[in-house]
Amino acid sequence: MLFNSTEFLIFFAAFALLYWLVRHSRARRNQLIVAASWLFYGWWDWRFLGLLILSSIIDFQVGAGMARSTSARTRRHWLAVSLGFNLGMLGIFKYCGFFLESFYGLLERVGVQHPSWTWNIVLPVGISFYTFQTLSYTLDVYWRRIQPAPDLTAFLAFVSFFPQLVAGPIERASNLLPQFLEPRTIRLVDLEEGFLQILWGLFKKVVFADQLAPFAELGLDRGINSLPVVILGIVAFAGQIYGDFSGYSDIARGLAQMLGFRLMHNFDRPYSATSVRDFWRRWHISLSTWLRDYLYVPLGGSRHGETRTCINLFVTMLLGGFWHGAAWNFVLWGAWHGLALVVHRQWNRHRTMPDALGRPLTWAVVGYGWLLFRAGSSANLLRLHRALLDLSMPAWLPTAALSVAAWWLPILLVESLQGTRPTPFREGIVPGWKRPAACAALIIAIAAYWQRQAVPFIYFQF
Amino acid sequence: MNGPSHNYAFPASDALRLLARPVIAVVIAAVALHLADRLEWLPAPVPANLDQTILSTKARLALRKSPASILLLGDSSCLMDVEARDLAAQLGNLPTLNLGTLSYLDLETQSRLLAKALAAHPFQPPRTVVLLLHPEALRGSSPSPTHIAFLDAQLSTPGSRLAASQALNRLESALAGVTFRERIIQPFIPVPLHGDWSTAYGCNLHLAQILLHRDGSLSDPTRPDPHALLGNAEYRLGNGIEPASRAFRHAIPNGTRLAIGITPTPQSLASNKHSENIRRMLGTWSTWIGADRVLTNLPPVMPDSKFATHTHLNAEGAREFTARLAEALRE
Repeated sequence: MLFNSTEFLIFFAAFALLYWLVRHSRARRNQLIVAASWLFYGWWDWRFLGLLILSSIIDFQVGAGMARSTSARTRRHWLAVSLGFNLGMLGIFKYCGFFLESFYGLLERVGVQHPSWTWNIVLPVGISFYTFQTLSYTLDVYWRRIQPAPDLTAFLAFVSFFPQLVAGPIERASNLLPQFLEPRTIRLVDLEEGFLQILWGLFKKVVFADQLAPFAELGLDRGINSLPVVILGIVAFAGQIYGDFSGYSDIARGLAQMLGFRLMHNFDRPYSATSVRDFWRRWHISLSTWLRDYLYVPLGGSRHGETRTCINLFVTMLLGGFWHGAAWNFVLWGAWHGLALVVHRQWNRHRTMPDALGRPLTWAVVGYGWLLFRAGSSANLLRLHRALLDLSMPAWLPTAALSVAAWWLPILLVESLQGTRPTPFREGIVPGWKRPAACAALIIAIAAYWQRQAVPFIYFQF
Repeated sequence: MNGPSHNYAFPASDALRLLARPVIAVVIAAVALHLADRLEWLPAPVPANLDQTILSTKARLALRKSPASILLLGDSSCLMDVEARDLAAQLGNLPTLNLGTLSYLDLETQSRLLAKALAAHPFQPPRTVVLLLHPEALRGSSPSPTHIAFLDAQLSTPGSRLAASQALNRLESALAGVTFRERIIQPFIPVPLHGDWSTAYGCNLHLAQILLHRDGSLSDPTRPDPHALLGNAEYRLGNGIEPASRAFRHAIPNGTRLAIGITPTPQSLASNKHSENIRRMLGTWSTWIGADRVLTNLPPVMPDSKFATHTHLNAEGAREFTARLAEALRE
């Protein structure tokens, strides 16, 4: 079920009513959340619901097993069960086909015959997100950072909480799990801010991202080999993926807030970053901090000298790229960001860069990264690189550029008003009397661009 | 694990008040939009899709200030197979206007478009009206009421709100979504076209500019699909063509000649008897329509390499066909 679909509006209205009815019982509330979340997930394909349930139950048992055990060896065994199951599941559903195809490609290059069967298996939606969420739980329990979940229903609600189930934010058990164990208070301001956050997220997705999508396709997929067209495509795609993904996160946070829950902040005006490092503090924060805490730091972080730190940074970003998808372009994208972080680190050791220079440079690095991310196939990647050498400009480019700039305008405007505040529609940013007007403008714009066939979110494929 | 789950720290009346504010704002905004739409205070609606962009631009071209000596009418093969500017140059700079539209429009609608173009210059009627149709259009398959209604609305009051698209659902309609999109956003923000059309023309506004600049002609940028050119097409005159042709004749003013022709078919789709069949169809059709000139010298078949789709020539094919049309008109 997509947030930008009519089914979801009906689903959430019915859920809100039932949620009000169960306000006196925490157990009932959690049961309702689990049932609704499973319905939400099963709406897409009920066959993969089993995986979600199995993954949740195994990690709950692993947590309980580790808590019961006093021996370090047994705890390690429990951890191995969790890592084996979660990473194995990712391996089978997400990466097996990729490795098999790459292996076949290699055999073909050296002229060796290979079997003809392929690994055609559907990728369960949200698997990368909920797998990382449950992994962070077992790792935190293993490192004794948190206590294991005392209640299975609360744990199931933590793993499958529908606002953030399929595309994050990737929550930490230390933040979200206790919220299912405690009574929640919903203030009037939570309803108002949550609702505005949802509207802003829908606007970013339905109006901003979906309207920029054809320009990204035009610039990067339609086979026009020219630098200005590729730049247009990159600027459009940068907006599309930001609007799409941060829009989803906004809706998720808004929905949770209206239900009395707090989800972590996932985006913080990433395109105002002054360096690549700064960009990763602002883009997909729940993933970048996950990678930092569960990969970079365990690899040694910055504790073992400069060379090792740079290797750790590079490997973390490489694997972060691979998390996005089983394809070489994602690996390249991760490697590119890893390299950029290493270069930035080395530069920063000796000198600093003024923001006026850092900002456009970061845009260029991130933009080139989006080209790698979006390329899809190696043939398209080669074509796009060849296009970078051609400066010709199709006659329609100025009108298309005008359109892309016009779609970016409201986002830049609202984000400049937002400043460093976490959400754009807090009291004080938009004064009280202007809020209903902003709300009406957003609702009418969303209704005008709401599509009969909802356009899926990009990050669902990861 | 039980106990209270969650509490709402506000009275229901506060929640209702909170909800009422945006609802009232939305209602006021929607009413204002509907009102501005009715009172024609907003810019003319600008459509986003290819067909509507072509039709609305054709309506503008029909009303343009400079009169045409050669007026081309017909389906999309007329729109894309004939270069109006080349034709004008080859006919000794006779002002030429291509009002070829789409095969979704019937001959009655074509006559209304012609009538509008004639009404714009009542004292300077064209020397020749050339009606060009693809043999497939002469089958008279069912026209599209939405396309016809859209063009009629554009012709009745150019830029009228009647020309805007239909709302997809009741909510969009109630919140004046179409007005917001087509009269507030799209006049200023171009919308990209789809597929090969986007590669060639980029956005709707640019396509409209090209149509105006090229006196109504357009090249079909579609990359040919070889599978689409396989088969053995059989063509005939449809039942509705006779009365529609007679009605069309009545729209031709005195002193203006009516020339008719049939646009070409790809070699691989034409049967052995295709040329003979086309000649026979032209003969019958010319009797029904009362044509002053029958363009029998136009090629009924052209090589597959000159086609973008099975009904439209590519740019090279269009140049060749335009030269043949100029020759035929000069004779």
